[in-house]
Amino acid sequence: MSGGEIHEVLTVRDLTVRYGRQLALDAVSLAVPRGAVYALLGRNGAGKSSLIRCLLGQQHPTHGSLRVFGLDPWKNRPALMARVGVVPETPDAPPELSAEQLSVLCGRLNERWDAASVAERFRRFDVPARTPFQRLSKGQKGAVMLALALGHGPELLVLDDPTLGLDVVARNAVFGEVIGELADRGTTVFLTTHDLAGIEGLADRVAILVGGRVVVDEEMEALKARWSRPLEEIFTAVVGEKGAA
Amino acid sequence: MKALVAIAGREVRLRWLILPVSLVVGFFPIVAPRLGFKAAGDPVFGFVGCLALGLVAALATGYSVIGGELAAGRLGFFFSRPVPWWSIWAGKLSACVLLTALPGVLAAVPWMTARVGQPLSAAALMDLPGSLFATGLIVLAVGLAHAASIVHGSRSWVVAADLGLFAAWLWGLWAAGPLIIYGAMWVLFLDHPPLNYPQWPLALALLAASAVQVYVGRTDARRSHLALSATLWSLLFAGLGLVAGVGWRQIQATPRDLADVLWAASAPRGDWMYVVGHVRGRIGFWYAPLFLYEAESARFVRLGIAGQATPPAFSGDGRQAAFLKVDNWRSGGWSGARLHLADLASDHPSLREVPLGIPPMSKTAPTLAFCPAGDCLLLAQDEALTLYELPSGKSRWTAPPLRGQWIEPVVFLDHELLRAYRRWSDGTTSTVEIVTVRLRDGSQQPTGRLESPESTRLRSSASGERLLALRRRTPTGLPDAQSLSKATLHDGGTGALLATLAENLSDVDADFLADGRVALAEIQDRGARLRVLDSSGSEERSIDVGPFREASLGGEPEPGRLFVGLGPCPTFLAGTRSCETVLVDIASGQVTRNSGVSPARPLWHARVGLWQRRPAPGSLGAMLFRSDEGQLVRLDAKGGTRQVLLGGP
Repeated sequence: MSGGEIHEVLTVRDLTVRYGRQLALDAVSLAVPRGAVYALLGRNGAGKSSLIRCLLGQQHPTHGSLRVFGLDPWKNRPALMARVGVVPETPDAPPELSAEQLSVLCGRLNERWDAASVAERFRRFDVPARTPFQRLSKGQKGAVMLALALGHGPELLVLDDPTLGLDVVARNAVFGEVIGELADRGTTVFLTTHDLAGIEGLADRVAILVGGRVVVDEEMEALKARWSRPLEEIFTAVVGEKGAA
Repeated sequence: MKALVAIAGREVRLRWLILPVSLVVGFFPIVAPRLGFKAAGDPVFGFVGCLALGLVAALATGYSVIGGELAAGRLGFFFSRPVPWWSIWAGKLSACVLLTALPGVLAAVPWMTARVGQPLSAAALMDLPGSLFATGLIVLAVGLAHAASIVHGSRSWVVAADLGLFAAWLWGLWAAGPLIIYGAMWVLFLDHPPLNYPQWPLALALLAASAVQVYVGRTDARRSHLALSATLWSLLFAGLGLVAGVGWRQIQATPRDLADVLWAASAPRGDWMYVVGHVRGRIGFWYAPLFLYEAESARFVRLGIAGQATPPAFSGDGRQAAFLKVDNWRSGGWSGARLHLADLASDHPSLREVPLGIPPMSKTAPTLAFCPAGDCLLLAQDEALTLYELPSGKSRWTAPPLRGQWIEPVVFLDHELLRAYRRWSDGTTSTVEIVTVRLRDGSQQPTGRLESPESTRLRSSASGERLLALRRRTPTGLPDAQSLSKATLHDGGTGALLATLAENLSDVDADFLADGRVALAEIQDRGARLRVLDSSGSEERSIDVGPFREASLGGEPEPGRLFVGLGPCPTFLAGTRSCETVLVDIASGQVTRNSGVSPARPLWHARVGLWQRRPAPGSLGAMLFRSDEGQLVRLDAKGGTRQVLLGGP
């Protein structure tokens, strides 16, 4: 069965991750359908990054399974990364390379690479193409990472708190680019964020992690209708309630 | 591969400045001598400088290329791309090796170019073994720096486990010391570079551990450390066990494993002998174990290896053997060697260590001799004669030479007295003083002396009444140089000259026969000759044995018949001609030739055999020979048949 025939891009079943005695994820199950924008919310330490590391094939689950396009990312990481774009929480590009050089390097690491579209995004984000990455502002770094994540036309875009620490302009540019990408290509987006207001009009489905467990996994509209409150208040209430429990 | 090259290229570009800096540094050995720093002109300085530069580069790049990025959280950039783990690992480490080797080579170019045609030129340093050795060092440095960076970056409890395992590994190394030495030597003597270089196994273990670390650890610093440590320590402990296992196999060799018997000598009575030889399929040429061996029953006792254990002395009845052994290698000579006794009369002969009241202190090999009754043991060293009680090992007395050094031989005259010889030199003449030593208390009584050059060796008759002085000296230099070998007969007590037996010979060997007569094997221009003299030195027989350049006396298969070994023959190295031994019937002058064998008793060995009595006529020792193929054979004097006892392919 090829990955292209699968309706769900990401399937997680009973996923458990432990670091020694510390339980990071506790029997998490969720599914992300093709073309959806799936927002995973949670406080710091809730297990979001662990889930993303599993998704990217950088962490082996202690128990349970995780499939991306029907494949195990631990075993099929290189093949999957050709179809996945990643914007990490902390920009991790080689600091000495400029945006232009990073695009060239990524072009050598990806079979498919649209250097022109990447350059166009740099221009649109107003990123200086020849300045070393380490000298860019936080917003510019985030923009470069997003441009690089989209350079090979991914089918799944993984955003790990992409607007953390960004000013309003940079935040809007990131979400604007995501919306544009969605409109153009129907890319599936899996994101974690603390920026609840930013994703309220963007996400199709929301999951909330508390203490490594999924306590909410629901369509955004259904969730808001049930609680009759803004997402931020729902999140606060759920986290407070489950955290106290 | 494209990704690998891209990753390696990025690492090299990041550190490109090291290359021009290395080239500039390379001019230092050329420029510095002109500025007054003359030592810098020494080629060794340049070579060591290049190696040092390469090692510094290896440590710096090895530390930063993976571990640095992992600690900084930047390795995820590569793991988020469609790149297999091995491309990330190999790309980064190959850049490391390149960034280490290139500076070394670039730094070498200027001063090597200036030294074209001189010793230690580029050609000499860039040969394959040299390159493999240097590359091994570089890979080791890269691996060590990489491991250090992973350990430092993780800051986890695994560091404590690492330290514990490292201590355990060192303890294992110490505990299995001799096994490790034998095993490692076996590996090092394999003709398979780069296994010959000890840095390669460790470097390869580090590389393997880093590969597992990148595959399993990926972007997680602690998991990376755990993977690296688990792999590295598994490999190091497995390697330790493997080398120790190989070493254990080496020392488990039996006499049946001997391929090439170097020499053998038998006990005065019985069938026990000791043999020394090279072992089939084991370590290299240097590894020669010693055994006590009884041919009839195939029983044996392992003594150690030549250089670690002295050739054993047998008691007169052949029921005991004694030898000294050092624990490992003779870094301190034979000082502190321990005495071992073998009870050859028991059904299962085994060794027993006897603690000595006064341990040996000689730098050169000491020699042991049993008292006639077998109840005491004489230890003869240059510095002292010491008599030990048996079986207690308590020293009865120690006799210093008072002047000069004790030399061979020592002869037990009876149950009360022994005769010993000490030599001193005043720069122009060398004097040998003959001393009678009382066995009861070690008191010394000089009885005579004789003047003889330093190169003279002495052989005593069994009774001590007469003494042969052999000056064996092969002329060197001018083709017409006079031969200087000479043999004289002296009174054993006073040293008075009784007769000059031979002189102006190319070579001479002489000894007392069992019936008291003297046999001389002489080499002159026209060949080898056996002469037999009566007890006063008058010639009885002179027998031409053929055109040979070496001759040595062998045993007597029966009274009146004598083996003479002829050569030269290839004892150690393959030669163009084989050994030959003749059996001479002294009465009739009949000579029977036996090609391809030489006496197994090592007359050429300076410290072995002279102290021991010649094998009795008809005894096993009189009929032991070594074949050209390295076999130990027993030659039947009557029928001429050969029985292979040990050795051979």
